Amino acid sequence: MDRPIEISAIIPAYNREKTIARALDSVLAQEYAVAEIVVIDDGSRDGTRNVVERYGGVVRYVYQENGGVAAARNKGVSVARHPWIAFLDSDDYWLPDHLKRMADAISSTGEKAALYFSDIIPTDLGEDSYWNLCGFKIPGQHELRLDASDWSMMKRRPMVLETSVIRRESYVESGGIPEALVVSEDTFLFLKLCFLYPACAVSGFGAVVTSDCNESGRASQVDGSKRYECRKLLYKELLRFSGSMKEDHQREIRKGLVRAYLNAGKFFLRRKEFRPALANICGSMGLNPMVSAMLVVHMLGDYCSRKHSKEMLT
Amino acid sequence: MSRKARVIAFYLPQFHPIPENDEWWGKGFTEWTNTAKAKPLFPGHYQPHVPGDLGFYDLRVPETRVAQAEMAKEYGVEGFCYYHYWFGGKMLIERPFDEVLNSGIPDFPFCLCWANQTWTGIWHGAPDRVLIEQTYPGPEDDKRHFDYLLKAFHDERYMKIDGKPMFFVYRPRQLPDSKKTTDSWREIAQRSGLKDLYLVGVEYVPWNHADYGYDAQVAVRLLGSFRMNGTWKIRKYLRRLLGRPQDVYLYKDIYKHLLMPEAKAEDIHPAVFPNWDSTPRSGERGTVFHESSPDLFREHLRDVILQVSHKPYETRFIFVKSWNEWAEGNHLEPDLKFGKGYLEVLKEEIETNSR
Repeated sequence: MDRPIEISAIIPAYNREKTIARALDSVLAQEYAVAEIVVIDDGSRDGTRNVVERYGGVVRYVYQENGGVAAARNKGVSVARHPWIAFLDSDDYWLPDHLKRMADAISSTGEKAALYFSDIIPTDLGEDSYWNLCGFKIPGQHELRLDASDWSMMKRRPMVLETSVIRRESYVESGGIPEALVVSEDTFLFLKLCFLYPACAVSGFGAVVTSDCNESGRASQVDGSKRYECRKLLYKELLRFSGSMKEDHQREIRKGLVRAYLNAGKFFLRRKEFRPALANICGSMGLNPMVSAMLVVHMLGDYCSRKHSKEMLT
Repeated sequence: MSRKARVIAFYLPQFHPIPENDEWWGKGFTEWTNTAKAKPLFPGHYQPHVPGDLGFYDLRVPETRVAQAEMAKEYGVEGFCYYHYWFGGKMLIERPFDEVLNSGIPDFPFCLCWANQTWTGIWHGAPDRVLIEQTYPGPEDDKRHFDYLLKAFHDERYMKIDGKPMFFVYRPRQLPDSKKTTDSWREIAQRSGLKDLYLVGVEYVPWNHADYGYDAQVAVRLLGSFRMNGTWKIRKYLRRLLGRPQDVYLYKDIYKHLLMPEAKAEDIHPAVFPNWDSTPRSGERGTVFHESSPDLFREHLRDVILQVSHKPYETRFIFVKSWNEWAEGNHLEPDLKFGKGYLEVLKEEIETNSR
């Protein structure tokens, strides 16, 4: 394909004055140049803006009131001007040949996939390849799958947002990410894209991820009940696409939703907030009476025995 | 006007009397007979469907055929896929299509789907009665069949992919020695100067169409191909006790099940269902998508458009089942209740710059 692959780099940032320069430098150092760089400042209160402005006109700086990472990503996509988008988190950085490998894969697969992703070096997990950790391997330079949902439903998903290049049109037409999803927004995006569109794995490393790549870093900043709300929302939103899921995946997602309700119930029960606890448990019963009834019995037993043992101790 | 997908609607020609139906079902029988005499079978059941703008038409009337095509075109349907009946040389209800072909009017794209199904009492809820049997007498018959079809294939209005006429088979797995048969069809087509055929099988479940000699399939996911969860079986049993149709699904519950995940593939084309209610034809044995509405059809359509959006435009098909299956409660054509509601939704969703 002769058409050049034009990529917009999108960097959402929240209070990242210390690391964002490294991220930006790694974008500028790409062997395959990006068509534009967009920084979405999600309401930072530190010097993030000053650091970004030092780069002058090369970087588009867009400020929004703090709206969470999902909102920042949607915003980035909506202001991007080119057909492909590549996300980079402001505390991570790309390796110099990342976009070159991606652009090669995109053009040699005829731009067929909506999602191209590759491996990362996860420095904090004590591993040199994230894919090894996932048990994920592809035979050649890249592997295109019409239906990559099996990949996205793996226990450990091999996709990482930092190395993903996504077709902008697909991101937009499938409705972006629900903004209330303040955690797991990447999970949502990957599952959805893989249910709906072809995806392609590209071998080799794209980025060094210093932060916790499975989001628990961010999750720990979000308060408990909200985290459970997000979990529920994640599965509910995914079920909107149930028609495009294989049956076993559909079952899995439904089960996930039941579990999310139950975990929320458990959480509130532990905090002795009985009303929301009951609401959540009833919610799970409504979804799947059989399974959740069993789990509730199990859970209550668990709760009572723990209470009992606590009393014994004191 | 650019469109998000190419919409083809299945078209049933059984809207004019023929001697065979007169004999089997009584003088004057057409689809309207069943459509009009339908009754609601449970509270809230929407029946009968009474046709709106086009009236109780007779497909022998050229003006009707023109009005249908104009309406289809205006609301984003690219072409009709006419059901075609061939029983070892004997044809039925072929007149509307023959007249379209021979008169050149309406000037609207079309293709043909061989409804290779034995006619039992299907039109009238008596499935055990065999009226005319589908047979496959062999190469001689294929040749005669194709002599008839080739005239249509060479028509300018016939829908083609890369120069190959699209020909559909409704029950592809019933052909004996499918690969050999389809190869011989292709050969006949090529000898007549066509590049090749684009053969499409209609199927309910994912199917290895290439092994059977087909280029693609239409995924008509319906009837028995989906499973409902939980209390479904109990409800079904209760309905049977009450003597009501058992297969009643709320459209809002069922529309997600009408998609086939495999339709992401370029050679698997999805079908959409604006509505469905076959009780006019089959009584309590019918299947009902209860509380269908244009708004819910919009959701269904959006799902399917998303599913095909990444395909190259040439094969970015969505099949509508159906344009005018009135006795299956399955029609885009306007009725008194919703008017052009379904058509308007189709137009709004399929045309990119109408919103």
